[in-house]
Amino acid sequence: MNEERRRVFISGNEATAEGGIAGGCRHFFGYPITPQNKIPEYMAEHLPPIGGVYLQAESEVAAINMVYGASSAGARVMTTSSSPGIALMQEGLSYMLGSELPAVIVNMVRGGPGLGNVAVAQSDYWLSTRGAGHGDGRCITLTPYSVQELHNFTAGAFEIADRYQNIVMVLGDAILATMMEPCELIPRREMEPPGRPYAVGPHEAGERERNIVNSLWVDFDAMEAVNIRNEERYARAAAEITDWEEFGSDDPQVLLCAYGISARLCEGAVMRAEEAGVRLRLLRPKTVFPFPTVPIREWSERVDAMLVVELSMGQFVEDVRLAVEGRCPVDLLSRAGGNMPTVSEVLAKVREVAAKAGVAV
Amino acid sequence: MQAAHGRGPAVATGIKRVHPDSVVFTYQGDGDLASIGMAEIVHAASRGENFTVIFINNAVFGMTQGQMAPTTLIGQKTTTSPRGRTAAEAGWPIRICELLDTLEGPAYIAREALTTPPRIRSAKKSIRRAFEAQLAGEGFGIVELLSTCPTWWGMDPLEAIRHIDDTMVEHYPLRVFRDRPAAHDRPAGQQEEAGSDA
Amino acid sequence: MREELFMAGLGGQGVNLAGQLVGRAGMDAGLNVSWFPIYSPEVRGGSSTCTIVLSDGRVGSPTSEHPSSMVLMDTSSAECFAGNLAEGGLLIVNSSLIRHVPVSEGCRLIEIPANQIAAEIGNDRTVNMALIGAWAAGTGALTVDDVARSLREMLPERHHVHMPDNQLALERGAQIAREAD
Ligand SMILES: Cc1ncc(C[n+]2csc(CCOP(=O)(O)OP(=O)(O)O)c2C)c(N)n1
Ligand SMILES: [Mg+2]
Repeated sequence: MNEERRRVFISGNEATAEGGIAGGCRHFFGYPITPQNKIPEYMAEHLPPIGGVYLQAESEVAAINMVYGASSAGARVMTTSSSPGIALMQEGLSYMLGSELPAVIVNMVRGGPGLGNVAVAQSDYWLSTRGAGHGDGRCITLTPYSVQELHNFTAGAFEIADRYQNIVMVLGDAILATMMEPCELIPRREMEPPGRPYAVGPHEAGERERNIVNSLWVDFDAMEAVNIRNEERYARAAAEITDWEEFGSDDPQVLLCAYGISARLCEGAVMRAEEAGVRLRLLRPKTVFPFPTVPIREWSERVDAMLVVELSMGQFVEDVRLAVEGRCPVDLLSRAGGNMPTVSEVLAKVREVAAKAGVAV
Repeated sequence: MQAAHGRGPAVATGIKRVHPDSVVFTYQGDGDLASIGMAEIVHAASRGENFTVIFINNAVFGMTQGQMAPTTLIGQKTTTSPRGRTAAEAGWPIRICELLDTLEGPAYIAREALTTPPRIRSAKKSIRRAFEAQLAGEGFGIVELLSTCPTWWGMDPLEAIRHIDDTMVEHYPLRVFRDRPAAHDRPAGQQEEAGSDA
Repeated sequence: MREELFMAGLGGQGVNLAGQLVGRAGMDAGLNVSWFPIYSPEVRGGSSTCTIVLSDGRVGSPTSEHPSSMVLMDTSSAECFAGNLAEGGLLIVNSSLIRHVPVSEGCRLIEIPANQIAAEIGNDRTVNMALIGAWAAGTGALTVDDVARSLREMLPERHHVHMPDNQLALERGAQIAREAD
């Protein structure tokens, strides 16, 4: 039965924090950094009264290792940060992938490299989909494009993390974090007792085998086996949870590809497509690892050109090109440093791309 | 030169080791120095690096909008300790000068408060002395300055000044903890005579 | 229906709160909405702006190049932003502070002496409400009652004593807007 869901007008940060609680997270470890401070602040306010734990770590390095510890103890656990802080967490992420542990990490991306600024950017795409420190492991990466999706994806991320025993990264940005929209709240899920089969923790003698959480494998084959298991997880995830949304013309000449806040701009462009005189469709991934390779490949055989819009010098576009494999031209509209293209600029670029591809405009 | 959050003392070490005759100092908040940068400050002090640290302690993360810092007092309300800091949840406020005073490395350690004119004059003297220690090659100097943050303390500026003088100094006593050349005879950052390490 | 409202003023004038109120009221009226802030780096002072999109379809881009309506609260905002108004758009200015503002052909201008209204009510915090009242009446996107109802929901109980002042400011602004039309 459909439970009555409360509709509230909240910021992306609050929606994310409440999403974590709704997903059953009662252990949060974090460190302040703009533009996501409202998340730890929300957790500090709301977790202790419901028996949860909020702890401000001394650094992001400590925070991610607290997450590592809590996850190995079998808890649903999360941390949130923004670009420079996520960079510092890479060590812990790698250890968790090596130890095959679930956790939810939210990155409200800001401008970089370096200290950068606190404005919107999408320049951590590689960090999220390739990164997770050293080694072969990768984060399952979700890309919400609204306050509602930040809430839903964060809540749902715990199930995914548990299912694949893998880190799930929710990739937001400075605008999604601070903008406010209506959000239907998912009822808060009870905390599950931390008794996962792999977890360390108290148990009766003889009740189960001793669990060891470890990412050190001196034996070559044992180390390789971890990597093979991870690859199998990613293959299963590709088949089971790859997700995207499409919007616009059923017979497009140009396909727009964008995720997150850029997908909002592109949605605006599709709504004004007649101004460009080009039949337009938007494909926006909701997961970028696993990547919606199949639908992008299929469209590449039917459209005259694709245009990728992203707030980085060109990271996401590489995955699109890998999916397209040269079947159609893939152009890029990029801005950086906190700048965003306007919808008119997207439309102008669409016209240019269409003309280059020989579409009569 | 802008360093990553907390890494000032490491970056300053790099600069000073390249330019031992240049005057080098770091300017760090309590979140910066006492939270994320705790390892860097302890090791720079322990090595007796010949630079000066100006440490602004306002008991809060100001820049990021008022979160709890390691120096936040017990009971103090911040945006991440909305019911007031408790030792059970978040431990006790860290006294940096006292902590560094356990090390051999530092040449000068003082805590001052930026409140009344006499206290500000005293702070000025300490800062001068810390830089003189650097110029004389005596080694690491740190001056902690208790500073107000009316915005995130939820006080007007006068109340905030009184809060330092009435409350903060109880936990953070104003003192010159150390005023002597570093324990080792060669200040960090200066090369031995050429050939001595052959 | 699609309304793109841009608001700008000085920090402390309540730009963001008023913008959030419009967003909240839009949601309560069953519309899709977004509220998108741009903060200037300084926590205090500096100008503060926000964009609210109200739509019975998809919101799409939460930013707006040429807003269909604008509420500008101080001189520098008027100088910086008035020119961005869409053709045929509605410009509402706080005429207590803004003496002159250029208006493009075909656009409507409504001048609200918001500081004066707030002073008459005896509550400085109602400057933004007088302007929002005028915006509601001027665009017809929401009713003044919609806005007042949502304000009551948004305000913590302890601030409900200010409701009559706010309501009065909303109505005074709306009345001037209606007379201007
Ligand atoms: C790796 C990293 N994490 C977090 C931040 C965000 N950040 C900027 S300043 C700051 C702390 C501010 O507090 P403090 O050092 O006490 O300085 P204050 O503003 O109070 O003077 C933080 C956490 C950052 N810049 N880099
Ligand atoms: Mg501070």
